[in-house]
Amino acid sequence: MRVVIGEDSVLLRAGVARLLEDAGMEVVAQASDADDLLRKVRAHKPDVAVVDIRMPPGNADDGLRAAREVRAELPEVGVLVVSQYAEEHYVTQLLQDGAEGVGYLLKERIADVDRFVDSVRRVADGGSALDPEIVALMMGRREGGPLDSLTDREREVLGLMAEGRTNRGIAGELYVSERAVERHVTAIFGKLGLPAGAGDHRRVLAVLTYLGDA
Amino acid sequence: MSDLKAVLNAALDCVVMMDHGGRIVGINPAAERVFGISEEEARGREMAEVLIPPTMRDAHRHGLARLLDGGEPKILDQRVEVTAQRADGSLVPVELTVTRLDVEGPPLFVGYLRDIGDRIEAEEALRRSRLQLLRATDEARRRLERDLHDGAQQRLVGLALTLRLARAQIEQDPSAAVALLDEAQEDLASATEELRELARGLHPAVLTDGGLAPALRGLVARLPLEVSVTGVPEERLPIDVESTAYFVVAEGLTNVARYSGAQRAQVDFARDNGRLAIEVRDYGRGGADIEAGTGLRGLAARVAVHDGTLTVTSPPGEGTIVHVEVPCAS
Repeated sequence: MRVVIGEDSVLLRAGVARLLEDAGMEVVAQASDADDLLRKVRAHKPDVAVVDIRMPPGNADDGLRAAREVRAELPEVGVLVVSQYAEEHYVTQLLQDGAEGVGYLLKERIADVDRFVDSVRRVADGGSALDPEIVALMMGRREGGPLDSLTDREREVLGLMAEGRTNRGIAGELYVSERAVERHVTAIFGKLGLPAGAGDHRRVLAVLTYLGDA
Repeated sequence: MSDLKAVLNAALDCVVMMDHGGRIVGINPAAERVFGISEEEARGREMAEVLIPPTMRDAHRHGLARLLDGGEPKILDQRVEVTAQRADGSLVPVELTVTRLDVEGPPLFVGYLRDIGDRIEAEEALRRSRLQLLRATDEARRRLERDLHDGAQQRLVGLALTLRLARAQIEQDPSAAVALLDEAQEDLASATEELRELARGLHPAVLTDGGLAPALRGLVARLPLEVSVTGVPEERLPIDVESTAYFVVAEGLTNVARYSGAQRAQVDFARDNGRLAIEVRDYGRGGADIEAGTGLRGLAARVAVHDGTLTVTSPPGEGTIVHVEVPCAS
């Protein structure tokens, strides 16, 4: 698996590169600003780019904008944005062109190495990875609606689906069988009136659209 | 002559004419209005008695006497700010110029006076507003210092201790060391989260990147309140207006969550005639006082800088309305 890293902090860039390499990935290029990142992604066409949201030249959301450009131009390149902002706004922008091969995680998640590596893999494989804190913010805003009709377990499953976990991932997280997860998913989609039958990758957008649409 | 009379009558400044004995010869309508006395009542009376506060009369009389004795004029043809007196005894700050008329016979003096009460009031309001802003800034710094000290700093000290303990255990009791390291990692995660939220409270980056609407969504999602928001301008506004609007809502809703006892709040925006109106409303216990909390006071100072207005309506038992209006060109 080939990765390009865009991160202006030297320390963090080296740290991320090292832990991804330790996990068996190949870091083919590292960039320290958004323009450099775009150049290197175009040149290497990696499986996934891990991008800091805040980077030079503008030191605003330049990384996010570069990530969207990558999505539009090279849809086969996964993009995982790491950010210090727990804000729905940035996620909404990132997901405007679909949730497949896209991720948005808070920077501190990098410290949880196994999960972080898992998220990078998922995004590279065309899946999604959304930070649990942002999912919690989105779900919190929907209090008082149909979400209240879900059981506690169903809410957990919904949250993990929104994070982009597969049924197998959810089963592992909750220590239940995949069959049990499937039953929960069917119940949730029924209660929220969402179209059933989408695969792991595609249902994320349905769930997020539902949660974000308030 | 009638032209000149017409000019005097139409003048916005007060004109008072005085003879060499210090007696009023005539005043114009502006002077009648400002000092509350008719020309008929004023004519023939000593100017000092009519227009000058008692404590300053003697100085005036001495000055006039010295002038008539051929002394150096101290006040002639200059602009000075003095205090005058109205017929009802109230005082009025004025800008005064006195000239000597070039006429035959005994000298005549003309005083031009302009009521500068409004200007002085405006200057004082400006001084007050600056001072309040300064205080609000200092208070915000103190609050930040406390938050950092009680929050992240404490956690980091605790973290250092935990790490030290883990190091001490690592050989005799590796499993205890691992437990301590896990604990350290959790503490570190909490400190990171606290710092992140503290930074957001200072100034959310999303406000700069995305504007008012997404910043308010993020704010509302964090509050333990059910908040309904209407009329948020979708277009970008001047950045200082966006910031003020954001902090009005943030402070208002924080107060609702903290003090009102209400579970719900309403936030309404309206744009009209180049003004942005923001209203934060709850139906809680009311009785909020703008002077009681530093938050609202600081907000009022901030709004004043925009030449805006902030009013708090909070009858006990009926909830609170914070209403702010700031100029905002469309």
